[in-house]
Amino acid sequence: MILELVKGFGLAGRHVFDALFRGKMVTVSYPEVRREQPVFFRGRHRLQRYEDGLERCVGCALCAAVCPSEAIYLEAKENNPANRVSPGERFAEVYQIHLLRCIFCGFCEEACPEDAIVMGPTYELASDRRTDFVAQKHEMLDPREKGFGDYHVYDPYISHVTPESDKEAKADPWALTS
Amino acid sequence: MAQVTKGPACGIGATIGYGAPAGKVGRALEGVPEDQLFTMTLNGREVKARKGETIMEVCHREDTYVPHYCWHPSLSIAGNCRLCLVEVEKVPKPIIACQTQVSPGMVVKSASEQAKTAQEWMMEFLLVNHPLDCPICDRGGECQLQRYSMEYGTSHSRMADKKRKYVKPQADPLIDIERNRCIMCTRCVRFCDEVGGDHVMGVFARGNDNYIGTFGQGPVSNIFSGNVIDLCPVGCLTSKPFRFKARVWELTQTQTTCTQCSSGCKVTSWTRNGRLYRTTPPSRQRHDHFTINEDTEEFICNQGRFGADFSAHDSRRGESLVRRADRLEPAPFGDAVARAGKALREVVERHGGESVAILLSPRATNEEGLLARKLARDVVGTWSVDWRANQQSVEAANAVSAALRVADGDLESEPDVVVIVNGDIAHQSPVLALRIQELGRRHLKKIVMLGHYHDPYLAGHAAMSFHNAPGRTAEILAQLAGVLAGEASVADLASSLGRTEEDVRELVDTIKSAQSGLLVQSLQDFDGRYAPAEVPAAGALRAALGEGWGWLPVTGERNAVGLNALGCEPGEHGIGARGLLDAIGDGRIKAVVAIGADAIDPLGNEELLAGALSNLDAFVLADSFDSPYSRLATVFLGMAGNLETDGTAFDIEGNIALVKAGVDPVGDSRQGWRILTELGRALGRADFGADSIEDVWTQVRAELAADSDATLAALELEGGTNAAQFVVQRPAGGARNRAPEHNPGNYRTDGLHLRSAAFEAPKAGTAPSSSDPASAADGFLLTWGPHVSGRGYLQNRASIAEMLLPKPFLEVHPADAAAIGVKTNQFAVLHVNGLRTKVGIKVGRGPARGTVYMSAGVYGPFDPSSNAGPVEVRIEPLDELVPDQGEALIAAESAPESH
Ligand code: SF4
Ligand code: SF4
Ligand code: SF4
Ligand code: SF4
Ligand code: SF4
Ligand code: FES
Repeated sequence: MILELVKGFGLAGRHVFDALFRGKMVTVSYPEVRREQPVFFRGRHRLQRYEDGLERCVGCALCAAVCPSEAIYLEAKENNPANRVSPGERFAEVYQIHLLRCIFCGFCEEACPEDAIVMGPTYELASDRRTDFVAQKHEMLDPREKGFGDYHVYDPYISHVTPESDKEAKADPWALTS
Repeated sequence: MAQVTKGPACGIGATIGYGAPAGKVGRALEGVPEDQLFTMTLNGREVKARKGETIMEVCHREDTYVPHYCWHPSLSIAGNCRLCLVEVEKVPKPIIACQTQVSPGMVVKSASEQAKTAQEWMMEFLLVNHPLDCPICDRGGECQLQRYSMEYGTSHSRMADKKRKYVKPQADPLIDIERNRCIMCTRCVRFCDEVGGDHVMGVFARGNDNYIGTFGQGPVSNIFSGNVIDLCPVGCLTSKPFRFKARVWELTQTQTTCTQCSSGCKVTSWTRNGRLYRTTPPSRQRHDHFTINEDTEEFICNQGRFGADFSAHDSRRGESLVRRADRLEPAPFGDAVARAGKALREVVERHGGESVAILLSPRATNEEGLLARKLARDVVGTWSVDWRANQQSVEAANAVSAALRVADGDLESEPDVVVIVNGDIAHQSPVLALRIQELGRRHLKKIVMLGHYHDPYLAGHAAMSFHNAPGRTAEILAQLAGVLAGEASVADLASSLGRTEEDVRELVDTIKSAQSGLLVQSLQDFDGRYAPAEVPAAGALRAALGEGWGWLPVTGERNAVGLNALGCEPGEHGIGARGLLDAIGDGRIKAVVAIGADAIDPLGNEELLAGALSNLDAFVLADSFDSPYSRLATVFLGMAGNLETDGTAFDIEGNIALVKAGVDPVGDSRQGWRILTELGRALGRADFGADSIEDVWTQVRAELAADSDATLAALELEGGTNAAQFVVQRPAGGARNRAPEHNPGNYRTDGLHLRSAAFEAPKAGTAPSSSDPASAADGFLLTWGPHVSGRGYLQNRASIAEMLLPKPFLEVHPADAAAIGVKTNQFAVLHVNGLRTKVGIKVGRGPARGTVYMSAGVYGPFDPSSNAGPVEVRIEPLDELVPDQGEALIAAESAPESH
């Protein structure tokens, strides 16, 4: 018994020594210092954009369908071709995630066919107002400049394929022209 | 792939290249003569089949699912999607199940390796040009292509070339067409050809380039066009009003019935968060999935589909109002009811019970009807309770009641001959017309048309048609009855009809030789102007027709049959809806209780009604909307709206069905039966009414059919989601639920009793005298009829009401059109009653020569109902075409005639 006690204190003592004198600090001085999160960390949701700034989300509601805690509510709407929100005909006009219901399982991210909803590194979610926990679309959307990639969404606004795009399309059946 | 290349040239008006219409699918073999039956093998099982059936039909009956796109039980066989390929022994290659007839000893394997491979390859083929944008596509979640891809397809495609892409047309205001998703099954084309009757959709171009579209880029113009949305197995045709509003899996389905006309169609209401998103034909469980209209034969009209959301209108009012010192103030429901009871009691004490009238909307449920009648007869003590405000006169209303009371026909029995009198049925009860048409089209029954207007929708399927001038129908019917009874000569009838004796003899022979038949009579045609004379005439004809025949008088009101059977009518002692304004004027009526403002709305224009209603001592209105009437009420009781009410209602054929609440009543509003119960209790009868809808139903049941012990839950089951039951059977159970027609004295209470309900001919002379159309030199006789979308009060509150409302047009007989020089889509000025109205012309064979038909529900600035006899009009052609063919027929201007 005595032996176990000595062993245990010894271990604790070693860590104290390492931390104080060998610079092997385990904790960080939050909030001045913040820890880097692993790539697949499932924090607060983000809605991503395409390179040209259009929203990736097309309001298909697959994320809402898969969500085990029914935390996602969305209402889709038809795009105005002159002033589009997303590629294709459809976009999410209302997109809300109830973060108190969310269990951060990441299913929404997995279900999304457009790579629109992803779970970001943000974990600071506390608030003293309940309404703050219903994340609205504009709060989750990435800034325009963070957009990436070109869209492969079928787009009826873009009319017949032109001869140039014909070649392109032969190489990539999804390539579309505008 | 054998695609139908039906170009514009061969498409119009014909169904060239299609097979025979499918029979009633999966029909049971009971009663089929032995020599028509044989055995065959299906998936290793020995099954019985009937001569002439297709493999698909046998599979249907045997509950073996064969994937299919182009085949639909209500439409002809096209055989062009090739997805139903099955293996048949001794046939080297797979063949299609939908078009191949079975033969004795045939061995069919629907899930063998060969069949499966064939189906898999077909799936890959159909997906060659498919955009696969399911996340955006509104069909996602109920798409047959998605489902089959999972069940019968492969997960990869070998297609490396660019996909074919079409421009998107903007043809129809209600249907979104996205051609790239089309798999060319031609269901929509066949629907418009065969059921819709406007032949407006077609397959254009050839081969790989073919696409679906409408002729002239116009809209799909028939009143059933919305059904192509459900028929389309993919996301090519989707609903515009519902577009992107919600995903189908997010919606709650309620199996209920449409409350807008007497067809009483079974529908599914799709709701979310207390809001109605869409209405469709019933969704049914079929094998492992839910489907609308995949294998069922139920169609609904556009009014029922797109126009049922009036409860969400801005003028919706949930709370109750009470008048205090000339101002209406919101009040809790209990207070308002107490106040209403007090006001009514005062009137009864001062002027007697007979000074109170209770009026019901014709869409009131049986439960509301029964309680309203009991409230009138047992509590208030008045005869005056009525639902018939839509009828244009007391005589017309009485004729309608008399006809409904003795009606004994329905379509369920599939009569050999259907005789249609004044067939303006498609406008007032669309799906009834659709089903009559189906009898002619699919079951090859004979349709005969008589009367002054022949609905073009049905006329196309009529074997015979005999026109007469407006006002002469009664005479013709009497003569026909005489001929059948051997009392009149065929020659006389022929001369009255202006036809050859041979023609008429054929008519008489057809009727005489029929084993069974049905006399369908439109009662509200021409605003029921002639009903008082035509009802007795049709009754006499019905008697002369004898055994095997039935009589189906048609009016558009939703629960006309039920409210009539429950005695919600004043009889000869009371004051009916049509006599109400006079009775208020001369002080016989001092208080009015209206259950639904559409119970009084048709009685006159707003001014007239407001004038009358303000003379009342008490006006209690239970309704769902703010309206000119609610502002006049002494007490306004917030009533649950459409889809917020439980109960039962009859369709015009006498089938009872459940009307089911899908959402909670808005605000503080209550269902009608509860309002009536509370009113009765406020009037001092603590035992009045019931505390649950089941209890009211028990009372209704006792009144209608004492031997039935069906619960509401049982009714629900009958109208539920059991596919097997509904594939072979029309919804709503059949004639066994018909109300007992000959049931006088049913509603005898407190010493009051209604006259015997036996049929009695109204006095002669109520109908205008006949006039010879030939004598109206350049004048024409005008006819019209009500329209399901044009009824006003409720229909105007639908979110897309103006799209559903019929555009006014004037239908002119081709010979007359040639004589005065007008063409379809040309404008003309219609001179009527000293007014003129500009209206688009449609040339058609609906009206007789010398008669013109004004599209229903839209009278322009004049009110033809103020005239008693036939209305004479003059047509003056204008050198101007109706702009934009699709948008045809707009009444542009009207002004009083200067001279
Ligand atoms: S992480 Fe899981 S619980 Fe949270 S919104 Fe996504 S699917 Fe729903
Ligand atoms: S986030 Fe993704 S899954 Fe959710 S609606 Fe948008 S596109 Fe669909
Ligand atoms: S039609 Fe069906 S398979 Fe095609 S995009 Fe729409 S949902 Fe997907
Ligand atoms: S539009 Fe739809 S119903 Fe019509 S042919 Fe194409 S897939 Fe079939
Ligand atoms: S026919 Fe009548 S009951 Fe049927 S859907 Fe249309 S309006 Fe409703
Ligand atoms: S070919 Fe048989 S269902 Fe289409």
